[in-house]
Amino acid sequence: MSEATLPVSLRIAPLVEGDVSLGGLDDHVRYWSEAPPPRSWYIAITITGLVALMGFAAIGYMLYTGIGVIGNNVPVVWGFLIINFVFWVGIGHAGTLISVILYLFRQRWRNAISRIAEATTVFAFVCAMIFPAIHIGRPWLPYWLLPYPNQRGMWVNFRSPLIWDVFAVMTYFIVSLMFWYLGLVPDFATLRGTATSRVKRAVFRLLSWGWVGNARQWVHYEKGYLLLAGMTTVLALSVHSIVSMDFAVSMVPGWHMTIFPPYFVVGAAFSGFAGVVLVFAFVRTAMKLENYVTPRHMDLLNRMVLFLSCVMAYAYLMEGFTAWYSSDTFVRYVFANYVFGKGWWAGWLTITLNCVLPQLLWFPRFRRSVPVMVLVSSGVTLGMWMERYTIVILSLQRDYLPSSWGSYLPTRYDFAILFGSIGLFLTLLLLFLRKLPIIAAWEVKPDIVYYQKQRAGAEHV
Amino acid sequence: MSDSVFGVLGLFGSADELLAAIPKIKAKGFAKLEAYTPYPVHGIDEALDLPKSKLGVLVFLIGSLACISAFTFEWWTSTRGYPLRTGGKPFNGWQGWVLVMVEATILLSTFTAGIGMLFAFNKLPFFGNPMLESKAITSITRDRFALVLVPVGGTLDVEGAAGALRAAGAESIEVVRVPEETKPGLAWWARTGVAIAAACAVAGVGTAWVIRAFPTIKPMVNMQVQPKLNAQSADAFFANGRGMQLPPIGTVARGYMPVVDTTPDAAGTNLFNPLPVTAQVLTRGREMFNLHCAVCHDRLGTGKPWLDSTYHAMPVDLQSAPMRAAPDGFLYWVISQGIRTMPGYAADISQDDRWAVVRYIRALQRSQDATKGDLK
Amino acid sequence: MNRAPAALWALLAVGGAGVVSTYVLDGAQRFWANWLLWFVFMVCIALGALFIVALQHVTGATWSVPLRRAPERVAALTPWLVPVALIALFSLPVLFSWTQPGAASDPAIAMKTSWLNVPFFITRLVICVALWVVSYRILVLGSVRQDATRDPQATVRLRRFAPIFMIILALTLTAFAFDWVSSLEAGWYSDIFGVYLFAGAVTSGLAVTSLMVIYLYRRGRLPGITEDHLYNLGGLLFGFTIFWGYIAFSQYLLQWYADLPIEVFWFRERTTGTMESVFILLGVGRFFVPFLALITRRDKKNWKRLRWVSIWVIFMEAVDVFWLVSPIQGKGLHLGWPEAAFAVFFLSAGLLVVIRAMGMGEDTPVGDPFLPDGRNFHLR
Repeated sequence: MSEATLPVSLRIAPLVEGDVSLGGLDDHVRYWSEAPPPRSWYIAITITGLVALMGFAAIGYMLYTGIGVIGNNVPVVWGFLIINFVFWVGIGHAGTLISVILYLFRQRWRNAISRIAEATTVFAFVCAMIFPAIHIGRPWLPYWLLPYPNQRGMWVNFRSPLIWDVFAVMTYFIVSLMFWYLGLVPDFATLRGTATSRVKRAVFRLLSWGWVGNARQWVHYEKGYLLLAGMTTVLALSVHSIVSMDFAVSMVPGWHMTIFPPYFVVGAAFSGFAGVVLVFAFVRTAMKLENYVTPRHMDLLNRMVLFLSCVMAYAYLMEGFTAWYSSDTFVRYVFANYVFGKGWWAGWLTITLNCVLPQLLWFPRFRRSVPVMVLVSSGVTLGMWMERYTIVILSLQRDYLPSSWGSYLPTRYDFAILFGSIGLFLTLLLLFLRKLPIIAAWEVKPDIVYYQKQRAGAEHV
Repeated sequence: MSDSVFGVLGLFGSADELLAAIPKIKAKGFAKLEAYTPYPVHGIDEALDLPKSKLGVLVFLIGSLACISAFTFEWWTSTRGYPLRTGGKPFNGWQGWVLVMVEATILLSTFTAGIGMLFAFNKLPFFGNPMLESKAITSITRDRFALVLVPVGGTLDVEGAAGALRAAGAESIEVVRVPEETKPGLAWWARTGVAIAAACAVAGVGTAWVIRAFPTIKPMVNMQVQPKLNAQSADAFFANGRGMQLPPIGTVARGYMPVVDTTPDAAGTNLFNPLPVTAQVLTRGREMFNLHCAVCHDRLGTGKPWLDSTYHAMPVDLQSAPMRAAPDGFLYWVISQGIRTMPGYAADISQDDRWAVVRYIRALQRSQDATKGDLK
Repeated sequence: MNRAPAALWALLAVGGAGVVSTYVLDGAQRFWANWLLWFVFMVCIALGALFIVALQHVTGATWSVPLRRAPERVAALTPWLVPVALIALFSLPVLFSWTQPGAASDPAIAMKTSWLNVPFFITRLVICVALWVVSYRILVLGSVRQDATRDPQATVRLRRFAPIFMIILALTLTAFAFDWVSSLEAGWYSDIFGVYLFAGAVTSGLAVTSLMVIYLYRRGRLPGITEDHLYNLGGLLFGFTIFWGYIAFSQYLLQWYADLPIEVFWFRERTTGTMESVFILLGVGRFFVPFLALITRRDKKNWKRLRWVSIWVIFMEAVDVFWLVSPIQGKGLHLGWPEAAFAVFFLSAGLLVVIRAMGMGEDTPVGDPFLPDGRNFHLR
């Protein structure tokens, strides 16, 4: 059955559009990494840079003076720092899921977006890793978390989820960085070929490790890429599950729910995809990537956001139902507290922004509308932060003994550090967008060839 | 210019043309072919009979090794090295080790798959590849596909190769030569040696400084120099400059309520023994009595013994009739405040204990004056 | 083999006799525990197959179009859930302690009698089974009808219904899991339990699909199907095996770690004593064996490998449900001739239903507009 006779809803749009060619893609990518950025970029990066600096100043002050300057206190001993950590790790899952899991499922639409998505992963993890480092009481002793033979005769407690966190986050950061770099190697080779100055050529020669594109090299490369993809999938599942176990292995009512590991992973994927949608909603037009990141790409990304929103709705429903079903007075109270007690606004924001607002994406018109997707994705990003706030703060404020109940009041330093981390992320992203190849050319080129053949009317590919 | 030829290169405009050219060239008798493409082209592995990558085997081996090592390490530290009893879990609770095993396995496997792939299998980084100096390399990494006919056994018919490539549809031909090898000279070794030595020196000095000076900088030094008040330290907060202050007037220590009454008789009428007559109370009373009171009053309370010759004060005989008649409050007042030569024991014996002693005294008194009926 | 061999009918009769004898000789509890086991097993297989059908529609995948009739035929078990479910209702007073009149004295149960009461329970079962049968009719019979009409609008309709089915599946399978397995020991709760049963259902659904696909493929009844399609099936089975392992371990680890008496008793019953060997078999057999057997690319494509792994996975699903359900009968390993008789009866009955379903429609969905794309599918 030919495309023309298929009903409209069954037709599949091509992956690339317009007047594209292999060389054209290289030129386009090279333009963005070599052309001097416009003034708006300098203004943007100055702002984000200053915000990041503000965050670092706040962190410096906190380290110098003590944890007391932020809102952590008894009983809410985990505050914004942990919320931010889980939040950024969640956003970091974007790149992994797009780049790796969609690769395993052979979804070729991930090719054009994988490079930027992987970059957001690396940067989100840089932001995430700041928080465990500063929230320990003596951040100049972080190496105590690693198991090494020492004169104290001590070894780390391998049974603690906090140690599992150390291994998980470290592994994830290293692997994401490595995967991102490996994908860049053939593109660095391309830049080496078109480098205009001796310095640039030497730098790219070094960065590309002397890659020449020999078929034998590609055989090993593809095998390595596939193996990495498979293992990074398992890694992505395990890392956020381990982060969830920081909460779930405890006895705090509202935290000890067996659904936490997949619930957190889905939440991470959710906030990750929403983050990527936000980035591309701007980058697509600002950097003229419409030929490569087509409306179909945005539609598919938004479908993932919608799907994950439905799974989150299921998870919230299960949490609420099981809390009631458990017949445990304390668990029932904590969940009722999420929506009716002190801090009810956080619970309602979470549910509305994560489950209700994304339902707009059932409509194809909204999936392709930039204002709607920006609204929904911003809402999801805020909603997922709110969800972590609800879980961490509200459960600790009102747990078992009413005599132990307390309140949490974030201070200005809490907010400064939070916005500082956002500033850092945006600064790194802006730098990346203008200095490194933003599209994985070696992955998109076969799609261009396929598209050219289709246009030329070839029957068999 | 070097003499040896690396290969004869033919550039093709598309992957299909390249794939179509391969059998044509093989038919002309050229057995060894290398292909260079800007992206992995499928079908080339079969066309050139390239062996499948053994990377998977290596990754599986390293991964398994990592898994077993992680398990062994966790087992040893948790059961032998530093066993920690947490949450009542057994030392060898394997359940808690699984996740670190998973992470360690993935870390080492991915390292092997990534860096191992580049290093071991692709032998990168390698900057001496003759292809890097060729004119075609820029096109190859952009949008052209190259076939290179390499020498078999050291010889290659360059003209024939070029002809075969042209006949198979190559856009352009290039003879790629092996560049001259330049060995690093003495100057290079000297420069590198000095650089490494300088780096080591800086690292050494830096480490020494960090280890010695770092803990003395705020905030690291906060743990050594803490703003809390230690005993006997000065403090400008208080008017007299002392860190240690007397408690405010009227402070009462727990269990040491002051006795308000001014005379023993007043106490006798106002105070009543709050403690019940139980074995526990009497045992405590006995303990305290023997500790504090028996030294003067003797274990039976008679007041006889040890002080007779040394001291000229006679402790009261607690078995005497006035003492039997005295109410509990009277005895309590005397124990607390002291009377005549006897010092007050309020600071030494807590309230409850004093009342227990009073109960015990009553028991002592009864013991020396028992009736036949008490012996039941 | 579109007609059942006589041997299968004979097995059914023998099994049936054994089933009846169990009730008479071994007592009601043994009988009902086994009936419940096979009820849950059937639900998992049928819904797993339906899930695979719906998954193909939701993702718009074309590689699986030629294979889709296989899980559709397996899903023909769904209408047969009705009699099995109705009979299973009689197990309520025997197996479910919260149905007993004195149950409300236990505060854990008293606080949830608005959920755990017989009328509401039966209502939920009726709604679930009704929704499953309706979904089956839309997804499977709609697809079979397309063979004759060749109407691409049918695909449009199926693709529209599939996400709705996913929502139905999520809610009903969870309710089913909580009701029929979790409430056997009403004090216990685990909010991942619906997902756990789902993971098992998907792997079994994939296994049964693979078996049928291999059967047809080897007889040349699926033109266009190559090793590449088998690779995808093997890959999916591999992936969902990892998913099952992940869910199973998460549940176990969290409840082991917190060690709360109100929940950990459930695991203690299933990991100590005679059940310890079943627990180890489950962990090793349901995760490590398929994982290692399907880890290489070559193994995933190999139809012989895929066939025995699929049979093994189906066996392990039965072991899984046994592990979940049988401890309700008390300490000890309740494994004997009744279990064998029930297995023979239900497996032969299931096979008979599926064989009869082979007559449903063509071997491939010939009316699907994406059939040529599916046949042309090749791995990169």
